[in-house]
Amino acid sequence: MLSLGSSLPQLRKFLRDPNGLVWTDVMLVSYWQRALIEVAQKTGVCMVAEARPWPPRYDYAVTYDWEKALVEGYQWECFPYWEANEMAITQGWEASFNSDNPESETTGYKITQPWESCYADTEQIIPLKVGGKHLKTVFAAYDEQIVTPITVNALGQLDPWYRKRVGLPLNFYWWDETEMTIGLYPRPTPVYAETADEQIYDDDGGIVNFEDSSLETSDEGIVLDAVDTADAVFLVYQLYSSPSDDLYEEVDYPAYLKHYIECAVLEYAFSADTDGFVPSLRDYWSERKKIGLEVVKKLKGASVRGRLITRGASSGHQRLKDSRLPSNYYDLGER
Amino acid sequence: MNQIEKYVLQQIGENLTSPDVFIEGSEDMDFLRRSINAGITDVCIATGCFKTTYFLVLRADRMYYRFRQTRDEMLYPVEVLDRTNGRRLYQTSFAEVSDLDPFFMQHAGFPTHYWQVSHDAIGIYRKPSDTGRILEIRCVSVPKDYVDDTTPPKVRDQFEKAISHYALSEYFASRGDAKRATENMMVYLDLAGLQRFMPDHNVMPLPQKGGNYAFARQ
Repeated sequence: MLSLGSSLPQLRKFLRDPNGLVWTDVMLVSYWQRALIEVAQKTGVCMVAEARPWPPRYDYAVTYDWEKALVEGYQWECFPYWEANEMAITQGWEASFNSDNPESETTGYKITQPWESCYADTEQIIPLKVGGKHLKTVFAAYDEQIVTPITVNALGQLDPWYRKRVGLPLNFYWWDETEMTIGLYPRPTPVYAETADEQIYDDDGGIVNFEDSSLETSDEGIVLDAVDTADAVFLVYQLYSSPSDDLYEEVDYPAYLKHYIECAVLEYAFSADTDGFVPSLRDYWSERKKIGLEVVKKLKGASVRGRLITRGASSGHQRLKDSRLPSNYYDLGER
Repeated sequence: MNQIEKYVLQQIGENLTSPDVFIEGSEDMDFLRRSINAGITDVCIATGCFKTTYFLVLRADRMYYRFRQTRDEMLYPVEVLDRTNGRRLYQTSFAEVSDLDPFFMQHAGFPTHYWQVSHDAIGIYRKPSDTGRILEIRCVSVPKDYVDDTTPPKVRDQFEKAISHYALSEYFASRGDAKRATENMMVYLDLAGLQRFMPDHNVMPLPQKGGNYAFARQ
């Protein structure tokens, strides 16, 4: 786990500003946040593997934007916002309530928490919030079965009634890329299950089972987390972290990236138009950062270089002798 | 004081027998050690020279395992051995294993393949049907930072001089001397055999052995 607070003494030594007279902590925090994003985007090694329960669990259901600033944890804007009348509505027909020929009232439940879908039929999109700041999805599965990505546009063309479909998920789609939520198609049949005593959430929001075995204190063994993927959405994705202004907030990056992030922070610091603007040191730390990022990028190739890769047998493409006839017809030959 | 520290202090003119500034336990000595640790990290990532072994106990019906790294930090596995069967597992990827078996997450059996899922997690195919099977995982790692004289730095002898220049580079950078810092950084890259990472260095793709085939490395 990395945090700016743990790197602060080293950074202030390099900046020769121990008391924060030129670069305040606030400035360093903003440089740190910027460096985290740059390193994650350029290296692609910041990956997370996590399992999220279905139905998803939110801490708060909100109806207006201003509520989001007042609550913490995972939030879900459960009801649509009617822009014309500046109010949240539950059913779509409410938008035409005062018109001369209003849309007929529809039945069906609206839910405020996803677990309610276990007890009530609803056509609402139940979004699953992806933890962290998502860059690129590498793999996704629901209940140990692969789900492939699809766009909402393609899904709508494939199945115009995709919102009503319930069944075994085949695809996932990005519902809101600002809120980092995805939807599953078809929507899985929800089964409400109490969280078992031995299942707890870690800070990243995944379901993990902690092993409390004798290997915990051994030098040769490791304490491990086994990721439980049954009845859960399992996601592997690249992420970037954008922490808050807290100096000691930890980010889930590999620890070996720490020094390269520090190089990026120093580059930004020495390039700022302050009393500490030193172009030579800016260039030095910039080159150090580039060298470091190149070194880290080689990790991906190094991890697969040891594999045995062989060319598969060429399948070839058989040209049909007579394209009008099926391939199982016998060769008529000349008569 | 280890050889790396001695070399660095000699280069900056510090008295090794009775140091004035870099005294054991002082902030300056801690700063120097952090620089040396950063250099060791850099070399280990670039060359893959440091390897460790982890023993992973598999649980029934669990395919993915996240490491809790308390000592060295794993970069990537190079060999995974099933100690129960005495066989080596094949390295694969999500794409290949799903091509091999579209329902790979559901089938249980004895493990034959592994792949790295994230920087601290691996997947095993097939997931074991019972608990207790042990995998011996040999990984390229980054050694844990050394903080005092009692713990020697874990690095190959051939890289010690290179890492010394890495630390020297950071020392001069901390004093605002970008020119000498850059010079020492170039010496570090040269001594460590990492010339391909030098700025503006044209990188030529390395030819592969045997034409289109890549051979497994031990």
